[in-house]
Amino acid sequence: MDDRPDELDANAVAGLVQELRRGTVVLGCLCVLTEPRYGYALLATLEQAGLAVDANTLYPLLRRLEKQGLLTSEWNTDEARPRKFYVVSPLGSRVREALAAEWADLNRHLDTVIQGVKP
Amino acid sequence: MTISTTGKGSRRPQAVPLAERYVWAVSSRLPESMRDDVARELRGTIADMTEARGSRLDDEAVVRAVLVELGDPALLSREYAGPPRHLVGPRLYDDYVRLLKALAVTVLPVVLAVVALVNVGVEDAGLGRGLLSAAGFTAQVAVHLAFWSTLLFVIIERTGAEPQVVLEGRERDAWSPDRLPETVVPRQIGVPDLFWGVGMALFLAVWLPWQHFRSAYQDGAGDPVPLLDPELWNGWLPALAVLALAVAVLEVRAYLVGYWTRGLMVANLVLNAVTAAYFVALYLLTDPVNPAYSAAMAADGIDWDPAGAVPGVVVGVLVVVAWDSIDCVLKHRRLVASGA
Repeated sequence: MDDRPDELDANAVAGLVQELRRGTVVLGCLCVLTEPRYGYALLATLEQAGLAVDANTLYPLLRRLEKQGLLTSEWNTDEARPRKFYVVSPLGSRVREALAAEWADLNRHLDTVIQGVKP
Repeated sequence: MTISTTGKGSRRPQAVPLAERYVWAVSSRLPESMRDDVARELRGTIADMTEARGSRLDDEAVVRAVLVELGDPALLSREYAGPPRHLVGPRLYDDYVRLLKALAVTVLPVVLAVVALVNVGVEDAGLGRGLLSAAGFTAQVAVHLAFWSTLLFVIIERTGAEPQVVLEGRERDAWSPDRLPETVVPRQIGVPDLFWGVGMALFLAVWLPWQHFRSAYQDGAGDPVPLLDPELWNGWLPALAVLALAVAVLEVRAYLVGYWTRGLMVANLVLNAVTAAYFVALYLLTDPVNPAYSAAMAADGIDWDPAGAVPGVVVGVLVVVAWDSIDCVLKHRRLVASGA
């Protein structure tokens, strides 16, 4: 079979890439939020780390993680603009360890598979 | 809140900043428990994102780009709250309750009084039985009113339709800040208009068959004598039912849009003209009142012919139709003048 990814619909590729990245956003947040950060600061930090996330995905995600007890939040009203700071909870730390271990495993296995199919 | 229009080709009143309209569009769809908190955070986030682009909230072009990045408020609120698990959400709840209350305090007492009067006064059912049967009928009407009103609002909730001028005539696929609902120009078409429009249609839908099958008078064979000439079912009365249905559909559409846009105004004028023509033609070409009914009333010793009321009803319809037409034209002109 011909290997011609450029003929595959560019949107379809973007969709697949997005799907691949989706699960990693949670792990990224749990790692970066060991220090309290507000929404946009987290977005910028993740982006600098090469883990760009859409703003409209990240902000609702933070709420969901908080609801699941993986994050806690606190309003900081010291500055002119009140901001909601999120930080990893003890439960979130444990989940982060589990996810990180899972990621390392996956990475190893995928590597093996990828090496295996190369000519 | 004042309505001011900035120059420079801007067509919308600018009293409420774009960012605030966006925050409202998102938060008004959320459950109350999280609404204020999300609104507060979103406000800060939009400001942060705007500043990160080296600008400030009063720079509409930059705010616009930020809002495009955040995307359709309906989708964002869905991300926050998940798909709706309610029949009627916070956005429509107040209107929903208002409609139910209005129907309950206006329609039900009238139905109760009329049916009780007919039962006791005309059909000689006896006071106790007459009242009881009237109460039972009224309870049925109440269930119908509640059910159909609820269904109407559930459909509005699911279809995501919402009052906004700017939706008219724009492409609907790609979201853009232009589609943010106006929170500046107050609605022109509210619950009362919806109530009257849909109420009239409901009334006709109930009354037309009712007067045919449940008349106060029976003929020799014991069959009811309808108030309206049964001959009219050959076309005139079905046409009236269709007309009432069209009016009800237009009223719902007008309520959803919330403003007398050009399209709605034209449709309303056409329907009003058709209604006026219908009643004038009905008056000129037919005798709507069943002669047998007049005879039965006379035989009952009532010295009044219902046929005499027809010109009054027709004139009343013409007055209402004319008033409604003038009202919608004036409101449309006000809407245009406000710059929306």
